[in-house]
Amino acid sequence: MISNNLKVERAKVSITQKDLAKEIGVSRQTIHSIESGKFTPSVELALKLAAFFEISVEELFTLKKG
Amino acid sequence: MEKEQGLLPGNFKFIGGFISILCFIYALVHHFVEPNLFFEGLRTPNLLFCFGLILIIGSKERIEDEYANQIRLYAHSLTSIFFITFIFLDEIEGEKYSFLTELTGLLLIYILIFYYSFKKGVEWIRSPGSKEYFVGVMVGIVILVSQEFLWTP
Repeated sequence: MISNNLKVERAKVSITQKDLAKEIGVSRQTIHSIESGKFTPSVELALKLAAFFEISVEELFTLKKG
Repeated sequence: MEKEQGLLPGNFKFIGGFISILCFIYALVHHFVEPNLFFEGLRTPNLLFCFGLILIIGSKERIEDEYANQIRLYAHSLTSIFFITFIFLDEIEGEKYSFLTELTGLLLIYILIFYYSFKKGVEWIRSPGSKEYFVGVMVGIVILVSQEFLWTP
């Protein structure tokens, strides 16, 4: 199970789901589904998101135990 | 990002939608307003309606990304359950529905599943016991039955 801090990181830089989606090149639904844990992004998309927030992928996505 | 390669440009979605709506209006007029309006036993408009739906399904979304691809995969798999049901029904009841009716119904079901899941997520497909899943299956059955009613002269 993978959890993420996307919502927190997004709040830090005050960017909406729509604007983030536009920056990354995906749909708003994609960002929403990642945030709510309904969709696990590919490595490529995870790297793009991490690069946007200037943090590592591990800081953005963590593997939950159990 | 992984793009869906085998799809038509997004503009085809609007062309398909336009064709389908025109044919659907024609079928409604035929049934409820002017029953004598006859055009090769509704087969040609039904074919065009089907063709329009195929264009809608076969063209790219406004933003084509891996999430859309995943939804597409789930929608295909759930629609295939309806397809298998059709095969069984045909076997039991001796091809009660025409192939074109079945195809039109399946395409409509796919479109509904895809766009509903695109907005709401695919959780409901992953949990077959859920209320949404049950409602989805019921809506599918209603679509299939109404197709037979609408396109039969």
